[in-house]
Order: sequence, then C-alpha cells, then structure tokens
Amino acid sequence: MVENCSKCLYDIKHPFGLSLYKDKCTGCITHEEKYQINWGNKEDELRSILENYKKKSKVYDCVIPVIGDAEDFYVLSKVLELGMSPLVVSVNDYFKNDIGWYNLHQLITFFDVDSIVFNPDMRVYKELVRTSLRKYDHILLPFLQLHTSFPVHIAKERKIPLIIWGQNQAIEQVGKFSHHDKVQMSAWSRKEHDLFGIDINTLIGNGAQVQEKYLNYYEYPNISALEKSGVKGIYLSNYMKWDPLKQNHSTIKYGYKPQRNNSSFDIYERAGSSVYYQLHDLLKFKRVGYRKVRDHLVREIRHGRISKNDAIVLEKQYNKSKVDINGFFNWLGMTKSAKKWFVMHRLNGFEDLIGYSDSCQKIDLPKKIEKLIQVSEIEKNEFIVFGKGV
Amino acid sequence: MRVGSTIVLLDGYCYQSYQWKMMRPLGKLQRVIDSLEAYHCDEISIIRPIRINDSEESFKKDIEKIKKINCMTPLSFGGGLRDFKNIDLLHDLPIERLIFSSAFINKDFKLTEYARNLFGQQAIQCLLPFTIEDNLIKIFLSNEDKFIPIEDMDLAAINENANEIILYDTKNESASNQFDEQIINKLNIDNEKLIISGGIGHLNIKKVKRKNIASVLIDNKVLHKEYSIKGYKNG
Repeated sequence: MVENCSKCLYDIKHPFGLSLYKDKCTGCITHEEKYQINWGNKEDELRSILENYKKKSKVYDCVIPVIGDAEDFYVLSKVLELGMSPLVVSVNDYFKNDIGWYNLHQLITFFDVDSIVFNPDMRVYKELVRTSLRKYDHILLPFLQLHTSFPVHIAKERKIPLIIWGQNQAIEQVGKFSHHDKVQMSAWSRKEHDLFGIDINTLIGNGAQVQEKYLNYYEYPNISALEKSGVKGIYLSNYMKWDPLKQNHSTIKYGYKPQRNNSSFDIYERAGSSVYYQLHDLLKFKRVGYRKVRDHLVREIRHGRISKNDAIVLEKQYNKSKVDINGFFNWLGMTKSAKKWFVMHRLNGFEDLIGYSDSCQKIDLPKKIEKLIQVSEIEKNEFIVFGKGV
Repeated sequence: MRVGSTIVLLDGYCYQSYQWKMMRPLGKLQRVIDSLEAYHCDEISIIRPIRINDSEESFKKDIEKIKKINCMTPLSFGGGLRDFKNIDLLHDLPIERLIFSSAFINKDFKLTEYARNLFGQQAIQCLLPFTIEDNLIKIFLSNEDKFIPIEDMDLAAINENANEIILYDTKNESASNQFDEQIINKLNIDNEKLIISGGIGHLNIKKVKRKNIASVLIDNKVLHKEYSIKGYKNG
C-alpha cells in the first residue's frame, strides 16, 4: 500500500525519498518552518557569512551557476543586493529555444555581470544523452552532471571560495532537511538528489562510445582537493523565505520572459527549454509516475494558493496534455524508424500523450495563482544550439 | 578519540532522526556509506529505529542491505537484536560490532552472552538512549516504547557485559552542540568505554576530548556539509 501525505499530492515513493509523520509528509512539515523562522535573523546570518567571503578572491566573491531561469534572475538580484561580486557560470544544454537564449543574455546584460558559458563537445554530449535515454529514460542527466559540477570546477580553478545556489530542491520538495540544518553543497547531495544516484561513470557504464578524457567536467572535483581549496556552496533558500512562484513573477521587472506550455501552469520554471515540458516531462511520468505539474501543485498547496481537491482536478487535466517529441529526436539525429521503435517499445502506454498541439490549453486556475502568471510568450524557434538573445 | 557517524536504517533505506520522534529520509545505504568513507569517518553505527513493533520481514530486509555493503570503515549494527534467531542471521555480515539496547536494559544477559560467544567480547556494545528531565535520567526502553528511570537498570552488569556503551541523547538528537554532558559524570562507567551521540557539535567534542572517552558519533549532520568529519576531528 502506498502511503500518501494528507496535505499534499506526494506519496512515499517520491524519488528524493519522503517520510510521513502523523499523516503529514516531511515536505509539508518543513514548509511550516517557513512561518516559524525569524527570516530577519536568517538574513543577518547570511550577511555575516557573505562578509567572510568578500574580497577573498582577487576579482569575484562567488560563483552563481545559472541556466537563464527566473530563479537565476532572483538569486542574482539578491546576491548583488548583498554587495557580492559574482561570476555567472552557465552550461549550454543545447536544448534552448529563442526565449531561453534571450533570458540568459538578458540575465547577463541586465545585471551587467561577467559570465562563462561552457559549450560541451557536441558529439560527446549527444552520445551521453543517447546513452542516458537508453539506460535511464532520462535526457537531462548529462546536462545535470555538468550543471552541478562545471561551476564547482570553475570556483576551484579560479580560487573563488563560494558558490551560491538558489533553492535546495530536496528541502523544498520533500523536506529532507530542516532549514535549521543549513545544509551545504556536497558530492553526496549532488549524486543523491541532482543525479538520482547516477554519476557519470554509472551513466557511461560499458555502453557509451565516449573516451574518458572528454569527461573531466562531467565529474565532480575530488572532494579532498576541494576541501583544501576552501570552496563551499550554500543555498539561499536556507536563509530567505522561499516562494518560487512569487519570486519568479517578480523577475519580470528585470526583463525575464516567461513561456507558456501545455504541461503546467508554471510559466517561469525552465521557460526557454525545448524539452523540459515535452519529452522530459513524459519520461518523468514514466519513471516516477507523475508529471512536473505535480511538483508545482504541491508547492502551491503549501503556499496556500490552491486547495488539495482543486489541485487533484488540475493535475488530472494537465496529465492529459500532449507533448511534442519530434524536435528532440531530430536534434539527436534519430531516423523515423528508430523513433517509431522507441515509441512502440519504450513509450508503450504513453502513445496517447504524444502529439503536437499548436495552442496552449485553457485551464481555469485559482485567482491567487492566476494573478502571478499573467504575461507569457510562446517560442518561435526550438533547439537553437548556439545563440544570443539579441 | 574516534569520530564516527550514526546511520538510521529502516526497511533498507537510511533516515535522519530528529528528537527521537520525526524521521526525515536520507538516501540509499551504500551511497551514504561511500560518502562517510570518503570523509574518513572512523566508525559507522547503523541503527534500526525499532520500537515495540518490529517485523521479521523488515529485519531481514535490512540484513540483506547490510550484506551487500562495500565498506572498509568499521561498522556496528543494532536495533531489533531481541532473540537468538536475530543473532543467528548476523553471520557473515561486514560488521564488527553488535549494538544491544533492550536486552541490556531488560537484563537479558543470556542474549548478550550468546552473541559474545559467537562474535567475541569486543563486539558487544550497549546503546542507552537517554533523556534528562528535572535532573532525573531516564532511559528509553525501545521494546516497550517508553522511558524508564535509570535506577531500574543494572548499570554494573552492563559495565561488565558490554565492551562499549553508547550514550545517546534523544532529546537533543539532530541539534548542534546540545549533547547533555552531565550524563558522563552521573553514570559510574569507565570513560574509556563510553561513546556519545545525539546533538554532538564541535563544542561538545572539544570538551569531551579531555574526558578521555572512546568515541563520538555524529548524528545526521555528517552529510550536511562536505568533508564535515575533518571539522569535527579538529574540533
């Protein structure tokens, strides 16, 4: 019997792990801390931590890993407000559409910060994506490997002692730790939460046609060397009352462009991706039994913007939305027959959700959510591998 | 003084325990152990958070997980070692020490003697989960899911039968620098035999180093920070 949380939509099979205490899940219990914590004190604590890192490095005080998401705009605005001098580091996932490139460019130019965008070797990257799809029904694992390790390498190599991440997903979703634990970035957490236990060596196994010498940045730096270099990573969500929808809505003033999609009402998270609400969402459904919209609905239940009953109804509606998988298979260079084989054998049972719809479905949302998601755009071009948002 | 870590294991999955009440998920056992080894943890205690109800199925599930562990760090294991049948299942496991709690508190020394004959005296550890309220020490009796006065126990016999004794502060579990050190002075047990856990922080370690105790076990916090053990060892 699967045990469910009495307050939200998660059950104990959540891929991050979830416990129930008196019928309430650890995610909901940890969320309640947000209303008990004195966030003024927490912010003071953050200020005093950051004070120790200011001017430790010659040029930059910290690294901010970004993908061009609304959360990145929010994090960068806060870090600059706190008087830090950041270096923005991004990894090209080769899945961005015109909105994705626009947002990344806007982030860098609006805040006028220095940046590094790493373009991984395309042949190696595609081979890893192919292997990841074949072995784990996941197309973002190679990107996640890079996104969670490349900024750490940069910090270590350039002697920048601090990395600042936005939210700690494991806390926000399942309450894996208390905010009071003040957990930091670690190799263990990366593997356990960001990579679902699949590091690059496990990913390539004996199946990928990739030479190890090309995988340096896919691997996390040696933790002993990292410790000696003094690099630490902190999460802002441990020090600020985290409310993604509200925060992301506020980033429109910085020129962030949200994007409408069929699979969720959230127009901010991963806007600008050609795959996130398409094949990636379908594969998530297959792997874990629910689509991204459940994460969004749970978050909104906890923030009191939707009732559990209404969320159940909405999830059912969004679960019917179709995804376009052609773009991805074209990007990967798969033939029509290979795609047909994949759908028949690996997406068996999900055929009804594969298709193309040119307009976003209209689903009625609660007013409290509606008012935070008013303006959004639709992409014009997908899978722009190299781009500038100008 | 050794610096190690506790792991709470139930139904094959690791958890973090908070104030002896709430459990948060942690992760897969081997991954947790891999990181603790990478941090140069001196020892790892795997404890099953068993109360009144324990099932044979759950016990066996955990044993199966432990059987598959790949680990160079000394491991101890306990939680649910309540009869001879349980002990017999522990053969050929990659563990060095066994942790008994209810058996010692209930004065069931036949069970600990049976284990001692099979695994040796050095392998026997006693876990005393305690709380101090109004200056009174109470010990948690897990097979009855309640705290009992320490006076109800035979501490001298425990001292004699256990090679090491783990004092586990239940009230302060998961907190930092909150381990109630009064307990060390209040019990008449050789300090060299003592291991402390529950709310351990750098300040606790600094203080107890002078008391010559055998070991400290960090609860939960080891994986909250990269390479945290080094900080505790230098504490």
